[in-house]
Amino acid sequence: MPCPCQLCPSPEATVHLTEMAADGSRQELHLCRACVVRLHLRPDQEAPDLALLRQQTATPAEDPVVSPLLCEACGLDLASYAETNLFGCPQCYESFDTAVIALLERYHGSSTHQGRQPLGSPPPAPAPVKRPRGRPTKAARRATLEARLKEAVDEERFEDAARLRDALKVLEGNS
Amino acid sequence: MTLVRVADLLNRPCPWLSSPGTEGAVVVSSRIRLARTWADYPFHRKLSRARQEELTSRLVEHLLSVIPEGVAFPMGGLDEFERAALVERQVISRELAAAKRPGAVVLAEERDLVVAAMVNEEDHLRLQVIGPGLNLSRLLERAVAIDQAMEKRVPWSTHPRLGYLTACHTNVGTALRASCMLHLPALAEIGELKQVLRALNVLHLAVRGDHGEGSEAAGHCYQISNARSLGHDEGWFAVSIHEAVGRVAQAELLARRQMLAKARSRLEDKVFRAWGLLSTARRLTTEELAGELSWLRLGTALDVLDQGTWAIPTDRRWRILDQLALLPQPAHLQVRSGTALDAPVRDEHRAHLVRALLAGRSPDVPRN
Ligand SMILES: [Zn+2]
Ligand SMILES: [Zn+2]
Repeated sequence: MPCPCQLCPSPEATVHLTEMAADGSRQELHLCRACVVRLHLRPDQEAPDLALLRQQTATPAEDPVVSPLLCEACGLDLASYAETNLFGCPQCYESFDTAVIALLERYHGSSTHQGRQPLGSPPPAPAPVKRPRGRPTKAARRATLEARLKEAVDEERFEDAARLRDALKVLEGNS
Repeated sequence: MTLVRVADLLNRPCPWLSSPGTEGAVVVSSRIRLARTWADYPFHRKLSRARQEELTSRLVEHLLSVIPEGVAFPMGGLDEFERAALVERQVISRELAAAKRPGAVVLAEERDLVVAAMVNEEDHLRLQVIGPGLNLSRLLERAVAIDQAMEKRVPWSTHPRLGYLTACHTNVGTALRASCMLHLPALAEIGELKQVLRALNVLHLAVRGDHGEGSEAAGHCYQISNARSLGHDEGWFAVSIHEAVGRVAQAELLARRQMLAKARSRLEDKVFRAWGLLSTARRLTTEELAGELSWLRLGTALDVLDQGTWAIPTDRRWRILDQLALLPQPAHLQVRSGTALDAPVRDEHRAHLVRALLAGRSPDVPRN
């Protein structure tokens, strides 16, 4: 009997993680393949921080119109980040928000910068649990995607173009 | 702009890789690296070749205005050996040398420091300041001063919560890497090296062989650096590396005293064998030289080699040892002789050069 992924609406979790908590209780987490890739988990790595992953289960899946696995600004998809560890543009950090924060917490033990800022920029914000952020309108998103698509075609990045075209289709189909 | 060839550069010493005296010559050199990306451009994997060219030339222009003594070397203008020679001088990374895309390095020697700004490496800018011995705070000060001048000209990608944004999540935040190169032969010899280095992993510090990621430590040289870059400020990371490196250096000095006290004849045997081999061999491989040079350095630090054997005063010996680590490397040999050399010929040239340097002669290389 397949159980659903605890991080996204996917009906089938294929990876099952368990960890003994300090008080001896067993914690379980069931994830789909996509989420494993998205969160940068590898079977050979140390056990992930389940408490941290659970925080994310509390975050409801957002607006399904645009795939959260694609950066609208540059066309990078998160699975390809997991392979190369190279983001496509600064906007990727916003586009993959939750996954990026989890990744940073895992690697740096923190997701809040404490050091220098360029002159004239505001002091670092205290760590918010979730940054409030207005979602762009559908028309604005279509315009962005179309512009990126044109750029990708002009620069002969056909894989990106295909992904952007898919994202546009999803956007159009969801009216 | 003055035209400088890499070949001219190679005749000059690398004061930033020379550290007699500091911590008994355990800490050879230190480096501060700041990564920066230009907010107007995507990162390189999503940037077309034409825009990479544009980014490179614009960044080089700004760097040259901000670094007065700077000289730019576009990667496209360098052949394979010239690039490799810059890697051997530790001013560019293997990645930049190997990249097929546009890129450049701006180099400036400032007394005993070198500023080496890599353009269009993994990030748009990798600003490095390298200096001798253990002196991270001085290097950080210089790097920050250059960055402050640059940020008046270039809008860096930043995030109010995450700090400076980089192509890889492992560099986000301060985007700072502080690292030191250490010579640790005695710890290796008494079998405590693994244990000492393993303790560093717990502190989230990274340890590598002497030419960066994935390389072997042929001459007992190890690089210690911070793995994390987010969650503390620049000074904190620099201080934590400084302290960890200081502790490792103390452990190495203790191990050296132990060797002198308990295994003096074994130590002398190693040092004199190294002397014998290097001063007489007709062919030397890079690995052989690195291994023997390590003992010669240790023998010099502990004053084991008498003047009768090596008739060179101690202060000059250090300069020669630094040249021995630098000039006989494969790309240096080939750039200096102006042609590609097969391995056996390189080994001959290397042995010739090593004998000349040990004898205190000027480092002439046979020309083909
Ligand atoms: Zn899932
Ligand atoms: Zn992006």
